[in-house]
Amino acid sequence: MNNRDLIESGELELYVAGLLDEDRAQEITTIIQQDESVRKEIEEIEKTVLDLAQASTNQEDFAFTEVLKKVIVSKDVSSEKEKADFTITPKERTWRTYVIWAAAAVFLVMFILQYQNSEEVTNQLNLSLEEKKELNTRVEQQNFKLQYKDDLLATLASPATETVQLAGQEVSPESAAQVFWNKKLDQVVIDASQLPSPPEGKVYQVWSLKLEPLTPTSLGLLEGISQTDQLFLLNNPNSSEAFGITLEPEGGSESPTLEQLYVLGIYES
Amino acid sequence: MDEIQDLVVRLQKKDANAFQELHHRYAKNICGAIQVIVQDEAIAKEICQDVFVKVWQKSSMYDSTKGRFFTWLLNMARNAAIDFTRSKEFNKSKKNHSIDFFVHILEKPESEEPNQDYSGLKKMISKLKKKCVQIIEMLYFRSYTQKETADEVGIPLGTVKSRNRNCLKALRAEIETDE
Repeated sequence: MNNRDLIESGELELYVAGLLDEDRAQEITTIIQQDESVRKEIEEIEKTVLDLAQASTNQEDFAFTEVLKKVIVSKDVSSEKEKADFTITPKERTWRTYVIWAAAAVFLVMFILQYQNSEEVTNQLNLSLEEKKELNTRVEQQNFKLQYKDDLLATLASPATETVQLAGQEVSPESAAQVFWNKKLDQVVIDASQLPSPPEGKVYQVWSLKLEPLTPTSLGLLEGISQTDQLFLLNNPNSSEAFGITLEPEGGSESPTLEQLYVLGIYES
Repeated sequence: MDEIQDLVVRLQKKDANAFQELHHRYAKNICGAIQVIVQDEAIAKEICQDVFVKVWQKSSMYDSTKGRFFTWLLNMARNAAIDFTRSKEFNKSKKNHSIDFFVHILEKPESEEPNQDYSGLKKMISKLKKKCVQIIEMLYFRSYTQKETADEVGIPLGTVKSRNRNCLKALRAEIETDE
């Protein structure tokens, strides 16, 4: 059969309907790639069916956001329990309180440790000037750290802070993270305790996302993630609709590497 | 159309922007195809969203050597819509649901409900023979085989292929005069 006959046979129409057996469909795929007239004909048939399908609905509003939300939530359709892990439920409050207490406890221990360190520092100030200077810097750094923890705690403890659960994605389904977002302070605290340690030369990067169109804005890197440092304070002046965390090369990236999307969660206002 | 192929390759690499673009291009058509079967716009919209979730999750299953992306998409939409018509929920809500959506549109008087206005569709198919709209609906929107279509419409099996071609040609001509 030459290609003119093929076009006239009505087989291409069946190809578009998906009604040919696999072998014949593959043969036709090859012919489409080789013959411009067959390709054009296929496109015409497809367009006719597309036009007819399109005329069969009066709907105009097809928000991609709705699909995206379902993509996220669909991870857990299998179990209601899992679903609760990344939607905000009334239980959240007890859970959040628990985190705040845990953070407060960590803070207290850190404070005592820092204080003891400072004591030690004072004693050593009698040592040489150079040493003094160095130690001063250390105190400053520690004060800075304390201030940081203080800010972090203030953001966490504020009643204005809202929680967004980020669920593990394809690359790491067992991962999870929480974003505590204080819109008044334009700050977020990231709880990264449920992310695996990043491999050598890689770093986690936090993204604020607008959904339509999909626009990621980097909020910063989770640098120096360790057993004790799993809470991070970042600025977020954006009107975020979702948050995501990707694994990026050291120093971070301009735009997120979606294949390395570890966790993602929608902010339900 | 190579553009679509490009987007599909990116979709298979989990590129959310490509996914959004494909959704933008096909949402209305896919929603319309589902509407032909479920005949309820709100339900069709819901199923349509679910179909796109599957598109994202199962994009790796699409094999471009076996058919068009649109055919794959349409097949997923039909299956989802047909599954729904077998559900309890659907059987409960089944109000004057007709097996032939296009024939129904063709024959019923103009609807007074503004959200049930299919005048565009009606115009598109009004010059087509009843058997034509039946054949098109069965083959493209209802996953009927050629044999099932022949039995249902009452024509010899050997003529389904050529009848369908002529019907689509007539429809294409109608659409082109309108454009």
